[in-house]
Amino acid sequence: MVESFFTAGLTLLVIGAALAAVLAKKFRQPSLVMYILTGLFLGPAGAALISLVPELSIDALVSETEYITLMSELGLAFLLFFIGLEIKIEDIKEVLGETLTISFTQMGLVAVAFFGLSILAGFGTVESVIIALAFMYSSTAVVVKILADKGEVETQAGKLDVSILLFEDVTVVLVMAVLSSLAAAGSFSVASIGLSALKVGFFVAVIAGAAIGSSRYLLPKFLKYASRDKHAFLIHGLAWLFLFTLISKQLGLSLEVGAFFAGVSIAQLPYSEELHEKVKPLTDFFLAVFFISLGLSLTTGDLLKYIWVAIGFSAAVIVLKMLFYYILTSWQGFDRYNSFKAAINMTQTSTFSIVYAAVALESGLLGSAVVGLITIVALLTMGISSYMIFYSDKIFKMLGGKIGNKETGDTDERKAVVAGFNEAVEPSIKYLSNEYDEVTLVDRSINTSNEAEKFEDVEFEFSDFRNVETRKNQNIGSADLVLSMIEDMDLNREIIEETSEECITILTAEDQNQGSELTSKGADHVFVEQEAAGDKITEVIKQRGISENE
Amino acid sequence: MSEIIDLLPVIFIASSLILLVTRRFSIPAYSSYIVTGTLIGFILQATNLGFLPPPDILDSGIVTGIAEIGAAFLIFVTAIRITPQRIKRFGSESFKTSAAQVLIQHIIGFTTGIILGLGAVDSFFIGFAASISSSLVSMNLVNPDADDDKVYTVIAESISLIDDGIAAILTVFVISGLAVGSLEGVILGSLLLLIPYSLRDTVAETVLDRYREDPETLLLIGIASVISLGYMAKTFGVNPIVGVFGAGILLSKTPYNQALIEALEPIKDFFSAVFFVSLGTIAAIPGQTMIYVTAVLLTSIILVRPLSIVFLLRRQGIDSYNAYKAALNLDQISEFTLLAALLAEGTGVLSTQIFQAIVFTAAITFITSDLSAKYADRIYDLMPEFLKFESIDEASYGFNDKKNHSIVVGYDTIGRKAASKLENPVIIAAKPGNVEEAEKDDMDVVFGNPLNDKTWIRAGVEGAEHIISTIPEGKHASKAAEKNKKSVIVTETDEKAESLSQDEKVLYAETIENLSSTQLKDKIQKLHEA
Repeated sequence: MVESFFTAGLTLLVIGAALAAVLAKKFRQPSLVMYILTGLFLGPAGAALISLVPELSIDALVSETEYITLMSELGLAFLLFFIGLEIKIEDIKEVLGETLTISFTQMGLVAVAFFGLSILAGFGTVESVIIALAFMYSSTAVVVKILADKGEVETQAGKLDVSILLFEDVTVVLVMAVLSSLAAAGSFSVASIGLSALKVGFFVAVIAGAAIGSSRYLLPKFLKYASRDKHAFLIHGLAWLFLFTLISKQLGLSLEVGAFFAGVSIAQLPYSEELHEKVKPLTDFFLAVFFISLGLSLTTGDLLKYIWVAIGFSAAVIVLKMLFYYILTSWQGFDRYNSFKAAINMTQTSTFSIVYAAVALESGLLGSAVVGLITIVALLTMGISSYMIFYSDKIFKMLGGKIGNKETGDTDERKAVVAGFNEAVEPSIKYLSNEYDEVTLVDRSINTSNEAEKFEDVEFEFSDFRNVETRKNQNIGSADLVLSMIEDMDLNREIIEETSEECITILTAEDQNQGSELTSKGADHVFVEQEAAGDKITEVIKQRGISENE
Repeated sequence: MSEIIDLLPVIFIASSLILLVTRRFSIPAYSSYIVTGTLIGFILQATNLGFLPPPDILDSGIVTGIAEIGAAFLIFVTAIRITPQRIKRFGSESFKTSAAQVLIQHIIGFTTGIILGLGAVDSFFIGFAASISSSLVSMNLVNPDADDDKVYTVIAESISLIDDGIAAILTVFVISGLAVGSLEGVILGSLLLLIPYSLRDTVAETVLDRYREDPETLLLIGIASVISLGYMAKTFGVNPIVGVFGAGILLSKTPYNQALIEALEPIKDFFSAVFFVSLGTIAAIPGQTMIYVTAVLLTSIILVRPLSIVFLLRRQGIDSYNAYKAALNLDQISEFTLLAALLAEGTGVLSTQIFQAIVFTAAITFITSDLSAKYADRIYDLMPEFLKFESIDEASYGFNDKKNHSIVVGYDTIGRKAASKLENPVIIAAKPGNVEEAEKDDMDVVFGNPLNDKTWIRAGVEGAEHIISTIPEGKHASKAAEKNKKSVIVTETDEKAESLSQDEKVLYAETIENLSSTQLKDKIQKLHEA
């Protein structure tokens, strides 16, 4: 018998998630930090804290239920799928050289350092290995988000960090596959590690081959057909995700490995951006539940047993990663400022430290107290590094650094963005492609990509401009001209808000009244297709000598 | 819970495969999902493949459970879009039509139940199922390819939204009252609708507007509202559907709700697949006792409801074409009714047999309503004149004897501009609003369907010299061309324009986009050079 969906526990959990998201924005923290804290508060740890109040003794406000478990399992699968959708092989190839060197060396150094520190702290070999693996990575969720908010993704340091994180995401999955396999085997001996690595390597190669092969031969046709239907497109994307999770399961790998490669296979195609945007809300929600549920599983004992070790390890993560990255980037030829920026961005552990810990806990390789340790280190380093990244320039100046010509990624190139396509805009696009250095056409019809090939020097983006993430990705805030052919007043108002005053905004409206509203709000021109067509028809009537009303 | 994890891949992979086939034949998505669900049920029962869940999953309540979740989110997504503006345009006509046909259908359903010896509750649910149509269809939520600006679409949407409002009230006053057995449940249920409505404006300004650019937070706020109000309703002893609906109302203020609607789009897509596939899985052919109930429900929804809607709309001056097109969008069971039935059956208020009959009818009517909407034009053409109720309030004015004039088809922007350049044209207007505008502009106007030859006769096509067809649809363009007069035609595709231009009587044929493109480019050039 399945429990009802509408339960007190689930209600508290989602309210907690919503509040956590609000507070995260307010305190400039990564939302996952707040989700874990919410889970801690709602779970046994929070109950223990509240029970400290005299004469107040409660059990955990929320305990794990069927639906919570389901959603958190989905959260992990969706997260890996989402990350896979970002892995474009072409992008990785471009930055392979310096990224590989810095990334591998850094991961190796951190792993060795924390293996040593863990042994010194009294942990066993297995625990020390998992701690070392957990702390190797930095957090894409934290770094990319804050850099995007600061407009620093396109800077030299930003680009390097993003590509390192991209590379780390690939290795994360491989390590997780081995860990899951070891967890299933229940053994951590050298022999079993070797065997697991071979087995996992083989099956991962099979699944990766299937992903890349389908990306070349099957997916282009399938997704081209699927993309015509906006609603069904997501369903087809999810079907692909679940197909790979099924294959993965049959091969004895975890669901997440399959989900990751499902994403990678789609990432090589122009449809990935659209699917990326569609999957994001589902990922956000299920992931929120995952992190809250992680917090629910921790007790006060788990959190307090290694609290001082956790604080010490957090400090070590920040200092060591800062040091290693700074030295490595300087060695690769980056100047002081960029080395500092690249290093300070990466001074936290990753979401996957918590994921590794959860996987290891489930299989008995780790105790819940060590999971608590890893979780606290993640919370502390993510929390502190968020502020460090945000105030990085001030910190650099405090340390005596001088910021020279700050490379912001802005150039003198003139950029035009065209949203939506129909025949009415064709002559305009031709004109813009001659007058502007960069013209991007954004449309969620794959037929438009065929049309876009007619225009020289026009880049096509398969995406829905109504989506706020799409507009952020297109950086319309710094565009010189935005032309929207989409008749959507809400979108039009958003465009006026999001573009700069210097930007020429040409919007499309249904009628003159809407046009007047948009003009009064700041649009430079409002195109009313019917009006323009009507004017042309009257011209034709006159030219063809049809009787005229004088 | 691993069973749900095992079931979800089956649902989505099967849906994807079926959609690939059915979309080729333009069969809409939710019919495809229902077929998928039926196939899944059949395959699970008939086979024993290792990677598929075991067949007993179908009886374990899991499928019903996920259908419940799916329906709840779909109702929430619908309710968020309920705004007075959506209903206003044909508010009066829609309200009268909706109220009258709900009453008619309810009487039919309830009476049938009583005659068959069923209890009051079961009979009530039969009437409930027969009377409320689906907002998903009319508001284009599951099938985004349909036109959303046509008169009949707007009318259908208004009627179904009003239906939802009536359904919510019935749920509060009757279903919850039955469940709780007291006035208390009714009062609490009413509060769950009234309080969110009164807080709409505050929530819009303090929450929706503030987090407009933060889809993650907005989404979580939306989901938290659904689950918490649904839970609150359940705690009060009221059907949770009331809480879910209330949550949607709370967040429905336009234009603040736009960002939330965008953020919920993938959630809606995800759960619509889950809901309709589950529905297909649990739908079963009714047993002997329920065959009569099902037959009455099907007849009532597929035949009686559309005809009564057409009749009622015609009485209020809507032309027969638009009345039929609207009515044939409203001939299905509502997801609102389904969720209410799911929850009522779960608490023992509704008998399982009636629940099964309702689910089976829902599965059938979603498929038949897809077909009726798709072939509405053909159905309309086949209807005998007396069923078009043409004798009711049909304007008898005509310009049959007029000569040497121009006929302008359509009186939207293009039609108005064209007519202003012509000497004493006759306008063919398909929408009541256009008739009023033409009359204000002192134009001779005929109100009627331009695809109907009688309309042309009344416009004096025999004596006309020119035709300016401004409705950009292939059918209208062809109709204008077939009148064999010198014509200027606005059509929808380049291919159609080219083929029309072959006709020597067609002086000019072009699409709206091509007509407007030069002006746009010239304007951009001016702004760039300035």
